[in-house]
Amino acid sequence: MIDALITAPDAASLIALLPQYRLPADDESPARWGHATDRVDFIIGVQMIRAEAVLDEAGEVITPADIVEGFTLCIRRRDRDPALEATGLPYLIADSDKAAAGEPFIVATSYSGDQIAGIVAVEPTWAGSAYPFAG
Amino acid sequence: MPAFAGARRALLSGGAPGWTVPAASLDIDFANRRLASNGRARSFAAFMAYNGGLATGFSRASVAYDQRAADPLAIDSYGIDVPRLRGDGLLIGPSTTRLSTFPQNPQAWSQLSTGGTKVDLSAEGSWRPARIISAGNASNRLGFNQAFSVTSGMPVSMRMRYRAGTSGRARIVIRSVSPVDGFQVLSGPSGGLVSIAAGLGAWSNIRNVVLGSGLYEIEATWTPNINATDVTIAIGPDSATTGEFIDIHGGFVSNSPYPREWILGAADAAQALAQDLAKFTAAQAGLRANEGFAFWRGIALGFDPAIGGRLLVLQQGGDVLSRVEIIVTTSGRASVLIYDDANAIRASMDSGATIIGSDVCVGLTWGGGTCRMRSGAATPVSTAAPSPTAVSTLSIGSRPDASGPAFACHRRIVAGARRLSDAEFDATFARIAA
Repeated sequence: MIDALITAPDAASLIALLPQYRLPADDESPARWGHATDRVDFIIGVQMIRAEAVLDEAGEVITPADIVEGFTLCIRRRDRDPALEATGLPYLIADSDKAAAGEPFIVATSYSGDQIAGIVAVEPTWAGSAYPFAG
Repeated sequence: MPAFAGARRALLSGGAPGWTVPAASLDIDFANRRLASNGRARSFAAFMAYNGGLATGFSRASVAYDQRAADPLAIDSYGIDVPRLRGDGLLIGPSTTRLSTFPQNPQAWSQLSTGGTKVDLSAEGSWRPARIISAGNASNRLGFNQAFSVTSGMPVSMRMRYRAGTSGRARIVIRSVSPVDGFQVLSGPSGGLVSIAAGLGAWSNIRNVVLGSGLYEIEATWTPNINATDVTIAIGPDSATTGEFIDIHGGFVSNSPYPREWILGAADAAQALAQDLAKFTAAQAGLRANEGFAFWRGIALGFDPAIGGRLLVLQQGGDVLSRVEIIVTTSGRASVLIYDDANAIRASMDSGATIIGSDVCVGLTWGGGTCRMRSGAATPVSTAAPSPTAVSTLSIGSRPDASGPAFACHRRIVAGARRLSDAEFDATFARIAA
């Protein structure tokens, strides 16, 4: 599976740039993320975490988590869609099969090596898939 | 010619298996993992396999899980695109996200509030239970590690697993302090928890389950009436007697509007479950638009009260809106609907009673400007109705574009390409429902 993580300033910005990944409103549901023909799945509001929150023994937050700013969408496909790398927004394309095999899993990204190295986790992840970000 | 020659030819050519409906072009028996197409047995596995080029067959973009019926301690894992086939059919559900961590390991939960003692117990399979011992008041609780953010009107659902212990009573407490200082509480004897406080919203879908081996589960949905970021969810003995305890086996919270099956995966992070989807072309199903029939039998397990959910959809897709749908309504009833190209309902029939958790059969046949429908135990009706202008896809559990999904166990689907007479329809319905 190919996961494309795309970060925009807000959801509306991303919606405007990816009309092919939107289904129109109908009599039951508002417009939503989806695809008319391809098998595509979404995690809305993914957090790309640079540092986990620090809690005290009572569970109170001492230092909040450091999370990449903006609205991040995870688009899961069975193949790579070049359009997702051409929005002009920051993106990270990862291959879950390669991650499972212990191989380098980032197949394309607009982030620098230092920026990638600064990510400690991405959450939520798809059940059964894990990306071992080094931090 | 010997009398048996005809029968022998039928056998050699793979004649109709006895369990099928004779007129069916497609007969899928998920409960027994068998399939017939145009009266001949076919490979169930081959038919269900995902065809990436056509985007047909069964697909799911993540691992998924299901409770094994024969063993309360076993949660089975199913790989990507592997259908969750169980004794009573095929489990299909929408995507959802487990918001909490360590679903099988309460020993890793840390939010012990207002007293009580936590003792780690021996592992049972992949479960790491913890005992919560009362310190003399009824607020001895072990909670999930995180504080949850909630939005008013946006439900979350939970599943908690426990053993009765010496207390015999359990209490689940949802707590928020800001902006509203309040509680949402389920409490009662093991296997019989009920709402005793609803200061932060509404409870729904409360269901107590006896698993066996002394294990209980409580399922519930909470629709908050607050916007908050400090929500904690915890469980413990409902006992003010020092020393009384219950044993917590696990639990999780999801963003689903109804309780969902276990979601495991990485324990220390939120996990997203992808939607199950099964769809087939009209050619695969042997369908045509101008006349036909379709029956669905199964168990609806949950529905979104905002949009209901689709159990079986026959449609063209795109700009052609005429279609046949068998759905769970927004009030949890079964309904069969025929839409025209203006997206207007031209014929419908409702079961009249909720079907959630019940094994029901719904069916219709159409053609020649009329249709006959039956939903659950309701009396069948015949009415004027247009046929769909086009049918290219049969999709199970949602529309072909995956919208409007339902959470259900699909037992059997039977479809064909001609209008059944009223007598044939009634007899076929009775046969499938039996």
